[in-house]
Amino acid sequence: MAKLDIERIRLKVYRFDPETDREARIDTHDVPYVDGMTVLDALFHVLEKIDGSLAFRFSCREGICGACAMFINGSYRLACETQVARVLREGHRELHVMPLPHLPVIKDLVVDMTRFWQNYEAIAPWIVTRTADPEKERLQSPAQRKLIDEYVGCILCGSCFSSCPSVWTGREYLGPNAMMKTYRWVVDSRDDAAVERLGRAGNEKGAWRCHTIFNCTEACPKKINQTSAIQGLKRRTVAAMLRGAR
Amino acid sequence: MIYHEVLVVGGGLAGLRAAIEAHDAGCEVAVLSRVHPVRSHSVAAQGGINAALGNHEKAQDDSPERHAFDTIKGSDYLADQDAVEILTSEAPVCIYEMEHWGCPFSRTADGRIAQRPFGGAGYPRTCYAADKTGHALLHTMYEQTLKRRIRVYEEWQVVSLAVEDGRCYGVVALDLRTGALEAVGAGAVIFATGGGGRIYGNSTNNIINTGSGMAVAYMAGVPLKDMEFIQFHPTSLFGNNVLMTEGARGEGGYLRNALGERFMEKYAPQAMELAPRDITARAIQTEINEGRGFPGGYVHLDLTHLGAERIMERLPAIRDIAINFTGVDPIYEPIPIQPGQHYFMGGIDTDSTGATEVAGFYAAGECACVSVHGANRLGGNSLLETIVFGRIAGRHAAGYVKGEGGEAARSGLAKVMARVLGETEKKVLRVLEADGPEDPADLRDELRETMFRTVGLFRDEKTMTAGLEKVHELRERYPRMGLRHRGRRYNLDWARNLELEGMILVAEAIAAGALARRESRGSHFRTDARERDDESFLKHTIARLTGDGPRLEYRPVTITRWEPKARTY
Amino acid sequence: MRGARGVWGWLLQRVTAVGLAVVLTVHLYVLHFAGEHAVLTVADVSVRLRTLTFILVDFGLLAFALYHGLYGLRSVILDYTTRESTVRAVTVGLWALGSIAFVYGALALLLLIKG
Repeated sequence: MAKLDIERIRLKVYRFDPETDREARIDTHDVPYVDGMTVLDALFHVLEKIDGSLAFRFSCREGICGACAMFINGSYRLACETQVARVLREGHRELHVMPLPHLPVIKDLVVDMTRFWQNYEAIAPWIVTRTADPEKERLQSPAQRKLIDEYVGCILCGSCFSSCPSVWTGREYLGPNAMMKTYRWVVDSRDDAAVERLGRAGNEKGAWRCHTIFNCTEACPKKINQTSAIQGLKRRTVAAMLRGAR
Repeated sequence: MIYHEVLVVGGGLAGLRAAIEAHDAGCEVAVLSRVHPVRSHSVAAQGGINAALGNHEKAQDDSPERHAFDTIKGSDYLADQDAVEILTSEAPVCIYEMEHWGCPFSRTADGRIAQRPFGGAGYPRTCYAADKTGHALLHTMYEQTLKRRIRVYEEWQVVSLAVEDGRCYGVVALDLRTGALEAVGAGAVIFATGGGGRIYGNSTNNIINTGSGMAVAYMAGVPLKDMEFIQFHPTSLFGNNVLMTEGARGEGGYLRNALGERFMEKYAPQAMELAPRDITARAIQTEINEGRGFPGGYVHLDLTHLGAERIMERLPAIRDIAINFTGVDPIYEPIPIQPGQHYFMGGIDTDSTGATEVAGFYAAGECACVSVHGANRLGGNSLLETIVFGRIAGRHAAGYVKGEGGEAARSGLAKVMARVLGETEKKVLRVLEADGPEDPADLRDELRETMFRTVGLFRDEKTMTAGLEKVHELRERYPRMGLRHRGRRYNLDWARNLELEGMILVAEAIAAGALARRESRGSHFRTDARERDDESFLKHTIARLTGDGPRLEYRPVTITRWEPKARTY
Repeated sequence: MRGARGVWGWLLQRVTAVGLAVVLTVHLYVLHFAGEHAVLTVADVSVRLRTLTFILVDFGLLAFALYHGLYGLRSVILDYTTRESTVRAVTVGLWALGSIAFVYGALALLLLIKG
């Protein structure tokens, strides 16, 4: 990363405790800048040196656990892998850190993901097989494995869910993540429950609520194309219906 | 009061596997975790998981025995060989089970689970899912807990273990969201809380890996074993120490110093880059210390000769991380790397069933020491340990609840839990109300810096003594700290500094164990005692917490079939 | 496929989209590019509408546009609620509205055809 010739970076961070605050506010902090600093580093500086009441989620700090998805300078990003320098290179002069939009705030940057997890659970995201397990592995060719590669990379961070207009208005919509994960199992050569899965997804609370807006795909920090997975679900549901699947 | 037949603390691979096993054995189970299960550190494991499946063309005659031998040699003969044999013979069963549960392993051309070479292993036996193996395994395991509808207490932090008369009754935990302290009674408790990498500076670990489970057990009187054995991973990203998988070398990556030399030929002429981690990490640090590193203190992990296609297919996450954090694209440029703290071989003292000396209290995974890793763990064996021994601990905990730990044995539950809840309440409020002059963030930083510098890759009496003194000083300064925030809801200042005491105590056990072990073995390398000394130190260190620090005891190593030999690669 | 609902509805929306693309193209071409007369009279239109092709094109246009548009409206409403009873009411209501509109449109076309 190119070095930045600055000593401090201005951080504006969303603050709200629904139990004590009547409305949210934005706190402004000037944080010492060091090369290689990430947005998560800046939040930790605030927590440890300025204001111990700041709440945010974190864990792996390398972009694989999905804990720290936030809305940073107008984009969905993982705070841990977002370099301050990169945000500045985009033309921003300060950091704006908000919680994932459209989700209830528990405190500050910590959001309530209950609905996201419930929807994930609702699609039965586990393998279903109709044959007895073989002694060794179920064979799967590299080509078959490739069909699920993009989707198994999901880190369940909730960015797509937070970004989807159909989720904002439709309280019962399963959302892009649960749809994409359904498709992940439908196309997995080892799974035998494709028809049930399509039945769960191919309805008014599922696939037909997707209006191919592509917000999810744009929001995904792992660059997964949920929209195309949902389109795949629609196609396969119609095909199954035409085949007369029960 | 909340009560569960089996309570698992920790939602990583070992914890979830234990919960599944106890559930399938007919117990009512709950998991309590500091973070949502998929945020656990298991998710960050990259390179793979070992099992002698013989799927690789060069591994046709691989076997659990050969896997056991490699593990024992890798451990510098400190591993208990009976436990290692369990580990390696259960490995294929556990891997196939994960596959049957839908784990998206990478595949060979004929559709079997793909395997790659790893450090210290005689055969390519590391099963992988690109370079996101931990992620693939953890998500699969989580799916199985969802299928079983196992209850998870998310974002609860265990503060104390309820033990009375050698029997465990449950835990007291802080619900981060409400700030309430809750007593959680249990027929059996299984700790699967992970390692304590963050006690060290320059760690590859998750930020949440503070060793809190080890510390909670240690403070409740459960001994810790072999704590001085700390693994330093050879290749962590220069600057922030994010892990760069051993799989990168397994796929054929080179290590080069500033002169462009593949310096491993001096240290491990046969195994080269695939020498075990202790040897490779010390080799890198030696190059840096002797002036053949790059300015700032790093060497290169060179993948440029592997080609774009192989890197994109086998090491995509490594590439993303390198680009995101350093701006280096490994397809075109070598990655700057340095050794970083990576793993605790030691942990809560358990036998090969996961049981501790406290009835009804079990441990599995990195927080436990069975011991299968001895003085140095082989890459690909930690994921394996979580699943094999998570399963075993779950089964034995369930057996305990159904048998001797049944209803009658829990008559005193309410009284014990009330007492421990009361004591814990006082302790957590003392921390919440702390308003002394010491900044806890400074204490934490000083602890981490001290441990990496004084009980690190190269150790000696003088430096370690100074380190231990510094840890003592931190222990004294801890009660004089002041918090910045006194609210109860989602108070990270409170939760993190509550853990700090345990970090200091565990650090003390590490340093004391290292000072007392006057030899070099595996990851424990002393410049003032460079040889292994089987006569005096072929034994496990057991540390018990007393009023004035750890009291050390020793226990013999179990040798079954492999007599200790010189260890060369 | 237990749980699947609205599959035909969605499929028909896709089919009508393709249909619309065809008939709309024909419609626009004929209206704006293919005419020999500088000024069209009602009589001209009436004559043209009597051919089978134009009867199909214009009734098709009417039906496809109504279905496609009303399905879209239904989608917007369902974005706010997917309660079973509401969905049924909306579907029935929109079919009724669509049918009335179709009859009304058809009558207008028939008037033109008759001249």
